[in-house]
Amino acid sequence: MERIKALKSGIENSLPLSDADKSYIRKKYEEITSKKLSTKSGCRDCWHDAVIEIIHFGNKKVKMYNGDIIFVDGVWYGNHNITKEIADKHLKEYPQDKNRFL
Amino acid sequence: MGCTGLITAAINANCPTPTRSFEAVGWIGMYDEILSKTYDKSTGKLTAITMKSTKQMYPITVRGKMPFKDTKTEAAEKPYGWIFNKTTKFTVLGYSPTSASVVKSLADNKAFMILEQSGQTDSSKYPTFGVEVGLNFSAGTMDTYGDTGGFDVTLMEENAETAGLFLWPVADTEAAADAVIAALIAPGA
Repeated sequence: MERIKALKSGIENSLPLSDADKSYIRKKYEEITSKKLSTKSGCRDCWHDAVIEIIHFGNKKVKMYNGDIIFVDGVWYGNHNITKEIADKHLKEYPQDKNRFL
Repeated sequence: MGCTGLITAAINANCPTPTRSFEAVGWIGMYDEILSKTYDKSTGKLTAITMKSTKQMYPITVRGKMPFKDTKTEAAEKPYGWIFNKTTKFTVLGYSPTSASVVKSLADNKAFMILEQSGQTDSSKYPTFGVEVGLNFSAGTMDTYGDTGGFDVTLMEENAETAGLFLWPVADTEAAADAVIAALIAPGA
């Protein structure tokens, strides 16, 4: 995710994307969203939109068994509202809970 | 002596709110899709329940002033002791392929349900039915010119050990119980 964040920053500062960067974004996009990335020749916003989607879905792409809940920073989280960030925070404190996440 | 201990507190001493009604929305799931459950038959609390991967519970909405009004629990004496038969009834609205399919699914599979008692905020808020041995299809009646407008379905759990089993997590708060409900109905992980 660090590389994606760096690429997002690069795009926002008008730095050109290499073929390797584009290939990486495409691979990550399809891996995380399960969708094909459609890019037109010369398209710039679509690469920016893609990295934003990767970051958005990447942060959410963690699942729990329905019905299971964890308590983090005063809030109950389950499959309906869990994020990767919250899961990571919980696992840092309770590493033995790793099998509660899919 | 019984299997679940003795009475250890006065009955009705603190003026508990009597049973009045259920909220219009309950939740239903397939018994065979339960991954794990933890309950204590002596306390009547279901402290944890999870669904198998990709499985979830679904809301079931009952219209009218008295939702789930035919829900009841009856004790029955067996040679080995008392057991409890729990019955719940609702209408699957419409006479259509969709409603027929729902009724067929309920007829062929065991279910479980969670209801919400109106006005309750403590451990009695979420009574469950079928978590112990499953709710079996008991009746399904469709009367085209009847009053209910669909299939009247009756589900029954027989031979349950508890007189009542209530969803109430170990955290012992309403917020935690509400979170379990939200997690149970989330699109399956």
